[in-house]
Amino acid sequence: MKKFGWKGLFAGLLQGIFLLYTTVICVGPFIWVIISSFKTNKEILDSAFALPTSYAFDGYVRALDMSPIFHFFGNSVWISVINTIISVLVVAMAAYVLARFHFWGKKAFTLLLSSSLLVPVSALLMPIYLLMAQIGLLDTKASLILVYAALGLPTSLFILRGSFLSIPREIEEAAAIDGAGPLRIFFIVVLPMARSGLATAATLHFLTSWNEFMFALVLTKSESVRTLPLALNYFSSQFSFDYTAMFAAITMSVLPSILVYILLQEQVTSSLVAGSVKG
Amino acid sequence: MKPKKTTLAAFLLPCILLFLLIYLVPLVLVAVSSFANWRIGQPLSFAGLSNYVQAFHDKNVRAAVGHTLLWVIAQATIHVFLGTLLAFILAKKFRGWKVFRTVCMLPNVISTAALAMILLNVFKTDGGLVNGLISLLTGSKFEWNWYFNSSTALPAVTLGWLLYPGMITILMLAAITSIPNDLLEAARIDGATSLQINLRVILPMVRNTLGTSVIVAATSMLKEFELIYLTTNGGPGNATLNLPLYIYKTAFTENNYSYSNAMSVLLILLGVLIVYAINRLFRMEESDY
Amino acid sequence: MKSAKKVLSLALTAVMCGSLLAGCSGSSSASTPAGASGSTASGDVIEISFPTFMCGTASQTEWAAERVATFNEQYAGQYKVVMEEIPGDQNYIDKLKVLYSADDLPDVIVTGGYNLIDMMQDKLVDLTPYMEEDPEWADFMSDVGVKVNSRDGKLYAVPYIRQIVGYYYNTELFEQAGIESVPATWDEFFEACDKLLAAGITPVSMDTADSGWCTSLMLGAMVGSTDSGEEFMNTNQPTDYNNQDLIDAAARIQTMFQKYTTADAIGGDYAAAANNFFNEKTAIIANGPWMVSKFYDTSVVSEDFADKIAVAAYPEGVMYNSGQIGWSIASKTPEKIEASLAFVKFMTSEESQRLDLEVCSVVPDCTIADADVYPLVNETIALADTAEHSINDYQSLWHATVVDEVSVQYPLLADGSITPEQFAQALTDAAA
Repeated sequence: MKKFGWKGLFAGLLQGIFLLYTTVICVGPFIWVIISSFKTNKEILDSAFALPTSYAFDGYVRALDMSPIFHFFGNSVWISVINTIISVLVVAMAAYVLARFHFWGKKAFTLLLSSSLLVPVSALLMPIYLLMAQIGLLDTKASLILVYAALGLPTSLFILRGSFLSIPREIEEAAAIDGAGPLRIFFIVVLPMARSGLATAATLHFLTSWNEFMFALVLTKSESVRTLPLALNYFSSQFSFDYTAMFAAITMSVLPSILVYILLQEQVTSSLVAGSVKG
Repeated sequence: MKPKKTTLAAFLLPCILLFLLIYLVPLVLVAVSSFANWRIGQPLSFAGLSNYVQAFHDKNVRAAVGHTLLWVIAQATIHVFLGTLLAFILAKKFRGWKVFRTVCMLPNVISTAALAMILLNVFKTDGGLVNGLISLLTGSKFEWNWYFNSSTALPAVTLGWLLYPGMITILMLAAITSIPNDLLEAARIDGATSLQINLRVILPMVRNTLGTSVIVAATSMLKEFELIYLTTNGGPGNATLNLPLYIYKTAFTENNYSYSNAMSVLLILLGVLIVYAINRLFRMEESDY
Repeated sequence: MKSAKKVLSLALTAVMCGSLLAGCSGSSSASTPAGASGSTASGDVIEISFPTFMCGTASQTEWAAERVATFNEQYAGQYKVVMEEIPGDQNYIDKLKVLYSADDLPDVIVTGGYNLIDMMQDKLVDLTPYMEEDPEWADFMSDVGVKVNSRDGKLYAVPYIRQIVGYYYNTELFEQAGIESVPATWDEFFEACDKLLAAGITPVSMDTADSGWCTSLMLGAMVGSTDSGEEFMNTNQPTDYNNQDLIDAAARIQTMFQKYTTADAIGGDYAAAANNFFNEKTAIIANGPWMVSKFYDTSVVSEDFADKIAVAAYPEGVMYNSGQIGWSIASKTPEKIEASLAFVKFMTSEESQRLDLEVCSVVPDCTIADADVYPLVNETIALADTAEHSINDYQSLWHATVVDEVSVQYPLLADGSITPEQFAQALTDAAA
């Protein structure tokens, strides 16, 4: 076969190098965090890239002891999952309309929604705090769910609009001729076809809300509603620090995000299999 | 298909409500207060355009806007290119491609605080990874303070996100792999090489997603501040200061809300302009088919 | 259906306009969310809110937890303090600023030396009348403590700690370098540094990240070595840094960056600076007595490390010795003020201050002669009591923008991109 010529070999080599390099710079930091969670504070500061002298779980014990990490963990799962579902669904409906139909003011509307992406957190905090106080949602999970659902809005909108634009119109038109209403078409026909876009938007949205710190800090005060990123701040203050415990806490908080990521991406892959059968 | 107005409204309404609930007050507040004097612990007063005039003469604003634009452009081109390249390679679905797909997202998963600590150690003068590698390759001890020397701070900070295109990769990968197989088969039967297929068949078909990726990459640089804050803090001097970081510092350190909000207005306008331009460039109002 | 949505959106708009007005006016009105700060509790128990950064690894964590528990026990059925943990000093300040803007400050506020009084004065309770009511309590506070916590003759916070800082040095390394006595002038100090260098020892631990605490302490001590400099280092929020004392000090700091410190100092943080001192890589570190307990912590230092360490005043007899911002009250109702006052009195009582000293090596505002503490802590206090120049630290005095600016200017000073004069000008610009 001709693709095994010199050119092909060279291209393959380049690809190999590129993949290797990507793996190193992407996996490196992750491994570093895990290894550091077994090193003593002294070892971390003395030689950042050396291996630990022993593999003890002290850091994990201290992390669990010092911060209410398990409690926060449960809250984080609840808040991130619910707000991701709400946000992706709400945004998908709007993105579908924006991708499919022409109406007056559409461009201005899209740009207005994009503008929300760039309102700095510093400008959002105080008004949102007041708003949540007014509607009695301060210090509740609902406040974070609402805010996070809105925070991811513009990015999800871009992604979902892009993926709806890539779906052929004919299928919807056929469904419409069969007498299906717009809601039915959207939920039964369009959404399943946009599964990969939905999963991508959901992944990014989940990660954003999983790691959000500032609103979690300002809008909550009870342990029963606080989230994981707050727990990660328990391990360093101006004159004292416990890096071992911090990296242990980070390790514990990262694993579920990776799990969610893998599960959602599996969704993309399986939807592709289904799609190619259809196609 | 001609939709009824009520249908359109019903689809848009939840999103509009969410947007209004969370963003209307802040947006109005940002815009209105940018014409006021508003600082913590000082009486509120009308300031006219003085905040904007101040921003125009502020050398930190000039540096910050410059760096912000530079990063937007670098991210929209190099970063997106790297991410897309990786997506094309993974789209071949060789054995273990799923592992790579997970791997390239890892840096987006671990917290910024951890990433900042790692990067500080990578670029450290003494015992840093970069200097260690250079010393190893050249055989003589090399010492350079990448982050805190004014000449290398900017490129060193840039590398902290430029080389991590995981998000672009998964966006592009999802789009590429959803192209029906028979289309590609047809091209192959016509004798197209895989490079030709990538450039002539696949790339035009994922135009919209590519546009989305460029928007996501560009706008992320209009928001980026945490990693800078945790590594160089915008320094040395203002060598790595960008607009979001300057806005943050003005609001939270200087407590000058009105000035911070005037700069926010500039940032929002800049962002809307950039999103609009990218939309036009990629003709994103049109369907792929 | 349609009209219901219209009503809903109208209602939402109304709510938002309301909150917008409340946000803009800034002044307190009846509709502001007072309910958020500690909802009225059942029965007659008055609940007060106390968010604190004293949690996690913070040095006063144990003390705060024990004290609050004891208070709640002692006043059970009458008052109840509800603690909110806010990990990280800076996060605590950031949240308080948002709460201040929303006119929803908690009942009791205490920072770790950060000055919120000048910013939030209008929302803090003037404690002077309560002081006059209780002369015994008034006498108990130190004069310098009252002075630091007062504005225009009104007391806005109750002092409970003193800021006392000299520098610690490694006697073994000093001996190795042949240094016989603690340097009395800055010239002698640099001679000592040269001797250390000659003996292959890096003289000083320095840092630049997070406002470069160890470096800035040195800078302040150098400024405070003259009478005019001492006055400058006791000025609250100065706006002009273009004075000879500061320029001379910046020049010395420049030399220290270039010759007398570790390679990781530029860009490094406190943790790295402290670690270099713990590892006996460096001979000197500027820091306060709260560090002393770490000298005995064998997870970071070697067995007999503490025996090698001694404390000294800075050259020219300079010591950081000043009152610190203490406990403020921002309650809005008389009942809550009463409860908060009881709590603040409890937390600043002699018993509480003694515990803080014994558990956390925090120097108390009042004089406690027979406390059970590390000898180095007492020696530090003794040095402060006999110092020729007493100064306050930059973090309490200087405007937050200046404190932030030093950390981005130090690297420029270190690599020679700017002169000491330009450094002083940059701080002046940041203060404007």
